[in-house]
Amino acid sequence: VTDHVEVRRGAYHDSVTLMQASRTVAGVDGVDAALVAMATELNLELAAGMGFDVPPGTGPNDLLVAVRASDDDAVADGLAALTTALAARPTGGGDGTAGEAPARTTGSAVRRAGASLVLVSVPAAMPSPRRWTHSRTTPR
Amino acid sequence: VLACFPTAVYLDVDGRVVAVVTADAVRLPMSIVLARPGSPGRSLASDAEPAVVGGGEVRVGALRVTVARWWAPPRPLVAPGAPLREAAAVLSRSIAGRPLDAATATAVADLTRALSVPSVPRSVAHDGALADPVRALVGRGPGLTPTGDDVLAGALVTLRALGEPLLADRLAGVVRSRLPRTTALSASLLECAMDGHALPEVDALVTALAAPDLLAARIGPLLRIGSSSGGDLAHGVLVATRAVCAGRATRLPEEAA
Repeated sequence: VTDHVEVRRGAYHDSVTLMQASRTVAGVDGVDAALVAMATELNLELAAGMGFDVPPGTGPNDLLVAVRASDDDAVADGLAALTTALAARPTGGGDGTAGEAPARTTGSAVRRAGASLVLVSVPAAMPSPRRWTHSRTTPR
Repeated sequence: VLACFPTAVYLDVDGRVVAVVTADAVRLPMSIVLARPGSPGRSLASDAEPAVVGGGEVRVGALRVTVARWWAPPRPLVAPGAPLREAAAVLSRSIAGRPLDAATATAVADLTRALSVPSVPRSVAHDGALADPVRALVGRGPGLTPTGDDVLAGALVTLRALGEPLLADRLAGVVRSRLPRTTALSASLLECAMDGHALPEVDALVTALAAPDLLAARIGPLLRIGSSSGGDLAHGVLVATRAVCAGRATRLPEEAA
């Protein structure tokens, strides 16, 4: 059995993406246990509960990748599956629409896309709706 | 008759399980409790005969039981303001000697994360996250009440007890859709847990979340239940405690009532 614990400093993905990525890695042949998560207090506790040794100084702005597998090859397979799972989704903050400047406020994003639902994802405590923007964006 | 043991008989009554248990048995929420203890090595009834249930009476072969007094299974409640962070730490230390296997531990960690994301309007995306670990857990493990089911039952009861009915309902909804995947007895126990009904030993542990000093004393009796069921239920209590604690920590002050 091999434990692979890796801390990717400053890497960020939203929780839904990470939960799905975590399940994908756990489903790889030879992988016994996997936790891919932002290193929040909760997730550090979960990693400890699963018997992973996380280096001290790891915090909520770091991405924790912990994989327990039958051998090094299985770890490598798990990490490859993780790379694919994370690459399959936009990481946010990036420029998704080539050539077009990204919207700078929720309001302008809603006006452009005609959206009725906005998902705000940040590596911190819940953002307050009133901090999002000054324009007419809150419930329609 | 689903199964017979020295201290319990499990009956299938139109798809719901009714248990007849002796005074010294684990008091499942859907039990008829006898006044007498069981006789070691001797089955309480024979599973060769059909059971007749109704009119305040249960008959299984030579075993005839008339209800003398109705009882209400406990539904634990924890007052707001319980020190959940401390309780989770104590609980996690108390069950360190009862680790889950690696795959179950992964599903349990995923379940905790999915439940820790606060609030309902965002549930469309997050119920997807809840579905995967629930699918992995329902029916997982050996025995009449598989490990995965015990964890889920512990979590369901604790979410209700901690005053998180919306979270409990979300989890219950996902679990309910998977009930056919597990044993009849376990499915019935999960249905009890969805309503917040618990074993007395679980009730004792969950109510102690409000006073973590009591946890160490109250976990002992629970851990003695079944071959692993007690420990698995305690893992479920921990899942809900951690998730609620983390969920409340990320909630805005004005949102947290």
